[in-house]
Amino acid sequence: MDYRNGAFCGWRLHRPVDHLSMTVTYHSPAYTLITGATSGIGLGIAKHLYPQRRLILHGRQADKLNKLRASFPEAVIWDCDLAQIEQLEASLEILLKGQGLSVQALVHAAGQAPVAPIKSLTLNKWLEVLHVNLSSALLISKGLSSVRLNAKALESIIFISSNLSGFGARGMSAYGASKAGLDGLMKSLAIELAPRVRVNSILPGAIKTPMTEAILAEPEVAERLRQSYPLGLGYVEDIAQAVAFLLSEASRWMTGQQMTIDGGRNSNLSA
Amino acid sequence: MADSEYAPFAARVSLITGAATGIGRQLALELLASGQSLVLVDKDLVGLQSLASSLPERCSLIQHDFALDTGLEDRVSDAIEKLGRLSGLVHVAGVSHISPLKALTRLDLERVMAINAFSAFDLVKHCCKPKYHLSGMSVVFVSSVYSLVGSAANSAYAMSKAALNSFARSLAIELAPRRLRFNCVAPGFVRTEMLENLAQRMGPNYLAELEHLHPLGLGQAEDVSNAIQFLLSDRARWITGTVLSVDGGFTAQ
Repeated sequence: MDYRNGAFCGWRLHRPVDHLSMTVTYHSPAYTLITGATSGIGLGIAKHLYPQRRLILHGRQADKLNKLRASFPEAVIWDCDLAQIEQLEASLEILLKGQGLSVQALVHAAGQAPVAPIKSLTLNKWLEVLHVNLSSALLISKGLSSVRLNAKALESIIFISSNLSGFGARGMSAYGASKAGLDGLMKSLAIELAPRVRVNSILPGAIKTPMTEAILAEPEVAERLRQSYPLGLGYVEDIAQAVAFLLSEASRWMTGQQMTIDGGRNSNLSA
Repeated sequence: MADSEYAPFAARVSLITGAATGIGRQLALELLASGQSLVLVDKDLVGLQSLASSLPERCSLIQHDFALDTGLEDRVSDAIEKLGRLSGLVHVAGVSHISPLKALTRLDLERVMAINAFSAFDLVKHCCKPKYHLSGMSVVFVSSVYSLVGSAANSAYAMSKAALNSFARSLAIELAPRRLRFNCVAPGFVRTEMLENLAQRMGPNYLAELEHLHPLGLGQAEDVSNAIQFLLSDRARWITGTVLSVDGGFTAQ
């Protein structure tokens, strides 16, 4: 059942815009901040939202940030290493106050997914994964919901979690814990920040990105994934479409929700 | 165009049950406005007629009470023959039933299960025959927050709605090779006729208490309709086997 053939992909490039997209509000003067925007899902979301939305794109590697500047000339670039968690709040404050930016929406797509069996998982690696995937989400949400830093501009937060959240996989303990934590944080913030800010997460299944490339390249893994994803592996665009929906007025009554987008993987206990 | 995924959203045919009122009616109005042709099912024929009066050529009306299980198949077949094969199937029809266990009878339960859940089986069994749908058909069942969390005196309703979640998840796996998608939308309390009727029976504080259960307040039918349309569209083409809560934060607490 391989329908991801050339014709299908070609159609996607030319497909007409769904009527619902017409009702999506894309013209706010305030910014949408995307973390982890230099590659993978974050970059795909940035491409999907640009130029209708004004973007702040976050990354940490100079060469990749330069590429972003070239691809998104009108976007603001935020250079910050989320693993350096003690410096994050100051860096965010400088970004917002220094340029007088007002942020309407946060999409936290930054993430690390190291494969590390517990015997080789060090405290430092564990903390790095938790800081990048989870603690940074808290601190950025805190900064953006601060009236001093961002007035009352913030309306929507989306965390890119994983369909692993709440489940288990070998060698993924730090990643799994960070994503389960992210969903727990999402639910708490949804209640605490209601009704002004909506907070939701998206739980993607396996998507081909630079982060997952090494994992997906192993033949055994590739075969297992092929069997366990009823609709096959996903594309970054599948996630970006859901982000656009959750950022739009069409989802104004949705908060505190985990939106699973995984081609049926989490329903498929036979694999 | 043989494949719905190649057809623009506006040119598609969808079937909606419970279309005369509430969420179903809102969805029908929006899909009609977008250009779709619709097979509309409800026990309230007058309600369907008022919905379809401006665009009769794009609507096919079926009066049907899901408490009685006969005769839907032929009329659905006729409607599909008239309008074209389905790209969307949305089961909204449902009945609430508030009754504590000691008052709940087997007969009540069977009626609630028939209207809310077995109805979905009948629809899917018929409409998923290859001759009645296009490739990539998206099926959405409207379930409920009470399929996910408990509530007193609500066991029959909760059972019936949870059955929809499980049915959708199983079908998602079974029919993925045929490229059909199955998902549920689990709404919180939205201001519909069903809720107004309930509120009249439950007393003056009922709506205020309900409002309090939703961090974003009570919803509108269009909030749920928006999510259903997202799942119907190709923008959700990698989403299957999920329950999407649209509940103003009800289940996050």
